[in-house]
Amino acid sequence: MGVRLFAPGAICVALLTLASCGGGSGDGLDSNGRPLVPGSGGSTTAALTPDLASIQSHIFTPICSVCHAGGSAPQGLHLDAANAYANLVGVPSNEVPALLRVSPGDPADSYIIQKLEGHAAVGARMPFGGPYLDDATIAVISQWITNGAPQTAPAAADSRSAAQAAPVAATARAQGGI
Amino acid sequence: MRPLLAPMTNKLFLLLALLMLLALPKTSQAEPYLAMEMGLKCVACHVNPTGGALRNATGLAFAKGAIPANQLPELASNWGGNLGDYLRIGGDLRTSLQHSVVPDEPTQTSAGLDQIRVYGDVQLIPDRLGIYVDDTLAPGNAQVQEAYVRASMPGMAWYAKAGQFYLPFGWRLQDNTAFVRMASGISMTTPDKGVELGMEQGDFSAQFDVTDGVGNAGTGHGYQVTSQLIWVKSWGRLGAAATTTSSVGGDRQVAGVFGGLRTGPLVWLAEADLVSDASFPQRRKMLASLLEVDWLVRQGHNLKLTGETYDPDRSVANDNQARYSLVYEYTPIPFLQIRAGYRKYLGIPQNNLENRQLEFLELHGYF
Repeated sequence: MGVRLFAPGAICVALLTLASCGGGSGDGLDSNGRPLVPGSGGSTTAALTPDLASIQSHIFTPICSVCHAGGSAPQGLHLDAANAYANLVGVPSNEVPALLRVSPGDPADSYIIQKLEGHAAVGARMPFGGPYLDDATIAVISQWITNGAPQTAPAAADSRSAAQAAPVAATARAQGGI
Repeated sequence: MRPLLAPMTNKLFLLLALLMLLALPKTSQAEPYLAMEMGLKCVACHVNPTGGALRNATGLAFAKGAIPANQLPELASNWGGNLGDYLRIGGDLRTSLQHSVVPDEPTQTSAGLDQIRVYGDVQLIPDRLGIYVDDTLAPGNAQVQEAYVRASMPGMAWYAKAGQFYLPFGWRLQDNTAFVRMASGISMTTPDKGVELGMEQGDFSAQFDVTDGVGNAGTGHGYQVTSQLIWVKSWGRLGAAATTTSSVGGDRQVAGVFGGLRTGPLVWLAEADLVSDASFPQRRKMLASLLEVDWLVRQGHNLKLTGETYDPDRSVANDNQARYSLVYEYTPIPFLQIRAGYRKYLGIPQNNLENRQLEFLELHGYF
């Protein structure tokens, strides 16, 4: 009987302890959890548009770069604001080297679109574990690629340094590197 | 009639089980609370000394007899995955149905196959030299997860691996999206190439790895050094792990402590990982933690409650995230598990994704 009562009792204590931990208040932060810098924007309240800065701010920074950044970025793919363009556009996919991650003008043959839509030849659909991007959002990324995947100012979405990322970009472009 | 019906019923049952597996829709295959329940090391039940995937004879017997609520007819459960004296194979299939709710966005339901994996171990010289392969067959084309040569002393007292394998760091959780796994960058989705030296002696397990570094894939620059030490007792275990990565994407260090405790029908798992990442203009420190309690309600029925916290930048206030999961795991028969769960994310209010909810139903077949 003691053991029977102990288990649910201990779980209740654990529940109460855990319930004391919640999300941050977000005071003083932008929608990506970074400190607000006066005049820098950084909010994702604006609608998603088919340009890299918008895609970075709405998708790459808040969703992808949770994993795809830094020294442990899966497949060596860095999708933080400073490195996303150089790691994507014209760079062969690691999983399917015959395909470019982003092939300007050709979203159907861009590996990133195949991974987001869930029909890539290799591996799991992204974002890993979901929720997945809806069709309209993927269409905006496709439109950016159809438009030639132009580079726009990449630094607005988060505060990573483009200058520091240059070696990453150069290496990724040179050697290939989702 | 009876002699004819009995084998037909068995065949029909197996066929139905197979169809169920194929019809329904997370990844990988490790549940450390099971080892905790038995007070055993990972190597006691798995071919891979760091756990997960292919089970050895003990692990298979455990999967048949100690986990499920019911037993299969003897004939259906006799096979042990051995193909001859030197080759052992296994497999894993996971399908899932997910329903996600993100505030102010349309709800999303997805169903499908998460993975089909097969693994095999060839004993070139029994207990001395072997080749291990773990391959994902679906989704998509086949993809090697682990493939390495293993040289060992009997009982894995000392061993060495060379090839591609999962790095040893903290609890090897089934949920690869757990904060501790995502923050550490080491999970069962991120195999790496290199060498591992390990030992299994007395109450201790230890590993030392030198690998390319996951973040260096495709660039060929940098390296990762990982080490782990675990003290295992029948009542629980304590472990510490550390990894450092030299990468063109920015150097990164992670240190973690983890432990487990068994109290009656409850198994407690905890882990805390501190990450220091130099890929940002100013080095960021992140902290992820996990507390899990598993309640073995009765054989075949496990209730799992997990609470997690994540601070993505310790120098920034008010940006904490949390995640709570409640999962019921029912294993009606050997090698078949049904999991149903609810997960709630808590984050800053201005980020809808950090405040999502997830309900899921998973079917997991394995042998």
